[in-house]
Amino acid sequence: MTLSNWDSVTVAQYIEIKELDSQDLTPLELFLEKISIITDNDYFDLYEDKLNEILTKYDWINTLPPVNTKSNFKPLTFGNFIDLENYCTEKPPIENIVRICATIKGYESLTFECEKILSEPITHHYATLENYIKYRLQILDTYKGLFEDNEEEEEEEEEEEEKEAKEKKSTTENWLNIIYQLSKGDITKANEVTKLPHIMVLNWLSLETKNQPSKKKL
Amino acid sequence: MINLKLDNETFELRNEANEIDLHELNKIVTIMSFPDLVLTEKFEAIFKVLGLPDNDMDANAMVDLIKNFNVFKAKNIQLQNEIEMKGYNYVAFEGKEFKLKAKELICLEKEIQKNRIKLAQGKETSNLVSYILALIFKREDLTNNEHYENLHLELKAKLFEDYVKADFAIPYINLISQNIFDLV
Repeated sequence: MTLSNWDSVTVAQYIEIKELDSQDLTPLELFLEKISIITDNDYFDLYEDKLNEILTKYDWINTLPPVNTKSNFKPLTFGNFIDLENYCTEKPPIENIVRICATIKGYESLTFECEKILSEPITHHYATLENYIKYRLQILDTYKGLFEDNEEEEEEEEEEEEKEAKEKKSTTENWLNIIYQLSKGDITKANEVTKLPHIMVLNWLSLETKNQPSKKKL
Repeated sequence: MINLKLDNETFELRNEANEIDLHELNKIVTIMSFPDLVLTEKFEAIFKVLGLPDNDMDANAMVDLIKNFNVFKAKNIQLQNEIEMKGYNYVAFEGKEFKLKAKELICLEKEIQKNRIKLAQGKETSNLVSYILALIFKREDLTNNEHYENLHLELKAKLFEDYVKADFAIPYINLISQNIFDLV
């Protein structure tokens, strides 16, 4: 069976392919490993002449899946945005593509939907991921007053690992603090806050930060 | 052999592939891959490997010597596809045509990459030509798994260094790389 483009490659296979990038493989080895993943065949015993045919046939695997659909992120809630921030920062976004896309699509049951997404073509989800990564960068830029961390410079000398753990913990704590502030300490309102549109909450927070510069940033 | 007159003494320089052993060929290939040497410096180093003493050869004489250097001009392009070493038969290919497998090309890529790094770090490189022969020739009584074992390849590479001359290796090297100097 010959696959002619990304349409026949599943999300699970694409994740496996991307994981190869971190391994110390030669260019030919990387190419053959990628083809082996998508076709479930072994090409390492092929002779040079047959190999050239395969390399030509699967040349497209060295390109990226197409990003030709637009995505609308306006309906994302503040809760969705927090989840997506965590997914985008805890590891490279491509490794979290399933959770990111499931959150953006607003699936109720993450576990079930994740399983489903894994077996769907990468072309159904890759554009969403790429578009969200661009959108996220725009948000970070638009609301940079909220996301800038003044303490960062002081922490520069800390051990890298210690710093990462601390940042992760403090980011989670910061989000909880924000929810706590916005719900005015009323636990019964916390859920309501997370269901608000994310743009509305970010606008509100930047207004508050402007009016009270001493207020802790994200 | 080329007869050279150096400081009123006649000197014989080995000039044919069958006069050079695999150790020397490995050294020559490594010299050709040094990025910091110009071609004449590379050939000076090669001639030293072949036993040419230090001398004040003028530029024209050096150019003539380089032009007449025959080691890489393999006259016999016939590939020898079988060899017996220490009682075992090794075969390079079956059928009419010599072809490499994908996994062999990958092993070669890796060895070349390793050598590039060693070269950049000023470390001694591995014997690439011996490694290539070890990769190509398979002992008939062994399976593929054993054939690609690093230790097995290393031992076989050493065997080749004892058993064959450069003329055995050069046709294979030329076929693989089209040009021996592209190797490293």
